[in-house]
Amino acid sequence: MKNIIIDTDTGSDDAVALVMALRDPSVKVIAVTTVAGNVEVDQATENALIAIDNANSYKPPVYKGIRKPLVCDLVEAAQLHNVDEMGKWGFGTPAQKAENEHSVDALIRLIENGDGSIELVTLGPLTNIATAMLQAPNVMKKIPQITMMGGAHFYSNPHSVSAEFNIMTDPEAADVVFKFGIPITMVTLEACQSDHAILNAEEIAKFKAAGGPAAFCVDCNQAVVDLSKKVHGHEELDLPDAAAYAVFSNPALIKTTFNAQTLIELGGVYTRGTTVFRLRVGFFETAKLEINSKVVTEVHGDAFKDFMYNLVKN
Amino acid sequence: MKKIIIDTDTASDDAVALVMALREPALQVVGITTVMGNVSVKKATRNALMCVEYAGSYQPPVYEGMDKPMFREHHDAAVIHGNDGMGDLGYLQEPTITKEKLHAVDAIIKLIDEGVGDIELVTLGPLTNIGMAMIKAPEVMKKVPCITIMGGAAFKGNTSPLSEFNIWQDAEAADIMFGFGVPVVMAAIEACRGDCEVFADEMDRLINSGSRLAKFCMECNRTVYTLTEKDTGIRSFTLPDPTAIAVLVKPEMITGSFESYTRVETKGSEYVYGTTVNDRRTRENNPFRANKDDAIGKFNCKVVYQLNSRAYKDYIFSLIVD
Repeated sequence: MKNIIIDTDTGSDDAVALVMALRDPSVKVIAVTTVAGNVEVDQATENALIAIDNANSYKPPVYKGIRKPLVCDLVEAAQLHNVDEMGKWGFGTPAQKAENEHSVDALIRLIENGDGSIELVTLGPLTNIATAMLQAPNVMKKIPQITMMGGAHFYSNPHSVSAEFNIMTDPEAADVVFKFGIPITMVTLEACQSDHAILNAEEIAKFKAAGGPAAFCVDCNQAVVDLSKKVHGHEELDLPDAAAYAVFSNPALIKTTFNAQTLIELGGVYTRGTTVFRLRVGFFETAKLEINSKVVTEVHGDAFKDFMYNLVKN
Repeated sequence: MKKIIIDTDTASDDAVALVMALREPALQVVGITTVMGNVSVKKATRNALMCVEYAGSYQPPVYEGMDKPMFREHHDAAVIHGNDGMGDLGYLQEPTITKEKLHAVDAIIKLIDEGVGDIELVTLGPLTNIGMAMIKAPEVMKKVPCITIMGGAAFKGNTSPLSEFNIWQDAEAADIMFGFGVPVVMAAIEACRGDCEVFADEMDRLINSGSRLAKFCMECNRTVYTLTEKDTGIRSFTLPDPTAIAVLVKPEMITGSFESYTRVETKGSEYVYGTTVNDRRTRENNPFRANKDDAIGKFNCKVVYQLNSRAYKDYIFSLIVD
């Protein structure tokens, strides 16, 4: 049984990952920490509580986190998607409330009191994680592994030419995390959309028909499904955070991966937020190569969807 | 017959492209301008003059240009092309013709100014001369109908993870060109790879064909193919610069390309400097940003990343056998 802390900017695909984790028998979610990203942090906190409510499982404590990136302004996903109410799911107010403790303090406390086996699964910008690393590096060094949904090769993200949302929302935070020294498994945006990992209309209907947590998983994504119908002419649902969680829980789902030194670009005009994958020392480069990440670029799509369905169905 | 000025940092693959252009009946090379890049500008000039004589065709004027990038130091590629840029063969015939006195930048401006808007640019090296000409005489340079460059990366780089050598050498000059407003056709580094490489049997056939010119064109790549053989065990080499000539004269051999709004990264870390950022988003495929980002869909570049390899090589070989 793996103990994990999930850090999330609870948009609709994060919610699916949360439900999966809470129903995963091999995992104990000891805390959920929220961060600004897909939505504002208050909404992310409410959405996390709603997801926990609808998972029909145990209820971990939820700690509200940092409301804007370390340095730059927050550009929420709703602005990118041109959708006003992406965060509002209409599931009512959850009974459970967030804890009073700040997410960064909770992170530091839980890791410090832990036995060095607690892993992090991050589904949003890395603002909380970086802040904890800056404040208490010796404690945070106890974390053995971070699995994150984030990063991409160039041209993999329609909302930016060169960067992926989680990284580009807070590049300075990502830079801290990737230089900190904890091994990172980075599930890229292209992995989450590879090899039929995207749900088609039939599969969406199957989740709906199952009722319970499975139906919640697609219902909370209705805005995304509607948008896909408008843009592509048919219903489809890609779930990056769910794919990242699946890879964490079931590494056999990884189809293509490589080890790299992942560098976060902070200063480029067109490339701020880019994840640069350094695989060798370039012709004119002088810095040593320091591998810091396992970059996943493809998953086994059908196996991922089966894995997800089996976790969330009743 | 298309009038062109060729700007080159003449090393081995530039040499093949120059020879092809001078022997291609559909092209009229009205001037050759040299720039640093693969080698120093002095060596580029010497190599260009050498190519003009070896080509056995007409002899356009050769003008020497910038000897360093606009803002940075020059990094040569002697390791790839040889110290002389031409395989350090030792038996090549030194040129007897000489360069003109006029600086390349002023020559480009003069030729375009005197022209009637029908002279295109073909660049095989860093864009330093072009950037300088655009700074000095923007109204004149607006007369250029199209610039075909060998340079840039469609997807992944060769000099750093994201950037290709010519653009990396002088990213500021390259970005001036891409932002200037003249349409660009970019033969990216990917276009010359795979089956477009010249293989040992093809190389030997040309060297032993009895054609002095064909032997010259193959053997000046000696440093390149020796390196490849050391790396892979196979004697072969890529010919990047001729892709610019092929794309210009025979666009029907293009099998992979896309339109984009392309700019070059000049800021940030060494790992992104020189990246050709190719924005392919249109208002149709990205309605999310359509209201927020007016640059979307205003393409300035056709990026070519793949050619019909048989057609490409047959075209090269047809022009270099004398």
